[in-house]
Amino acid sequence: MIPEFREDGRIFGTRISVYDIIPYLEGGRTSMEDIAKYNSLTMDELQTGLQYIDTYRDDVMRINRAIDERHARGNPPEVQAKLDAIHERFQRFWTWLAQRGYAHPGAPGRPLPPNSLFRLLSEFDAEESMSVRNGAA
Amino acid sequence: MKGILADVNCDGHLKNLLLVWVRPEWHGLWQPLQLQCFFFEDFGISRAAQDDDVWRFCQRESLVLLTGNRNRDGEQSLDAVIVRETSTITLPVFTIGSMQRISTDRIYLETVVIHLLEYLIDLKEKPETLVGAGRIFLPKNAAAGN
Repeated sequence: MIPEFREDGRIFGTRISVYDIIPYLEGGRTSMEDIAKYNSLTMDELQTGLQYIDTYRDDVMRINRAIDERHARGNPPEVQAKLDAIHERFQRFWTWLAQRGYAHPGAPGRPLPPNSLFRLLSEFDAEESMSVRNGAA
Repeated sequence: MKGILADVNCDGHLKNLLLVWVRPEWHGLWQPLQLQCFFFEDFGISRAAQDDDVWRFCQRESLVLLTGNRNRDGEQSLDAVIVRETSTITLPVFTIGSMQRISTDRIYLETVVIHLLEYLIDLKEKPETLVGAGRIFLPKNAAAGN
């Protein structure tokens, strides 16, 4: 039975919509079994979704494009500015850890001692503040 | 913040992230956060739950939601409830920009892993920075994966 068109595109009985499935189909590198598994769908439910996409292709793809555009806009500038500041601080922190021989994301080294992360972050911040003060003096 | 709740289509993705975080070179960064990873079944949440109910559950239980949510806008959508109910004390929702690339693109996976870990550490250390931020897309530019 072909499901009735609904704007939200949800697969009956789940919180998964056809818009969750489409990127996997477009990517072309995921098997149907894996698409079902990743989205916690049965193969029957996935088939229902695929049939829905086929039946209402133009409307579904129009809505999907709008969702893609919304996602591509990403974070609001004020949130992105905070995220950038966090990321930049950690980039400096990872370098600081590497200089002390510690492992950090993507680089081998000594493991951090248990529960030392926040203490090391405080030391790092204190050193950064001191070098800023010394630079300003 | 007690932990991370994987949306119903993020189970495998959160497990992939966790596999990285527990590696020896990451463990010292992940373990001090003392965060637990949860799945819908842990709380008996229906896989048909509405976005707004899931979001409110996360706020009540002090969990950040990890999702790939691409639901259409609507009264009960994630975007709608975030706009309506986000306050200066609500935890953010982390949205993976490209769910399929987590499974097929190692560089993309590592980018998400690093960025999310940095934000989680920051949330533990200085919660005032990201609480109230609403929805946060990972990574910064999903299309380019950077």
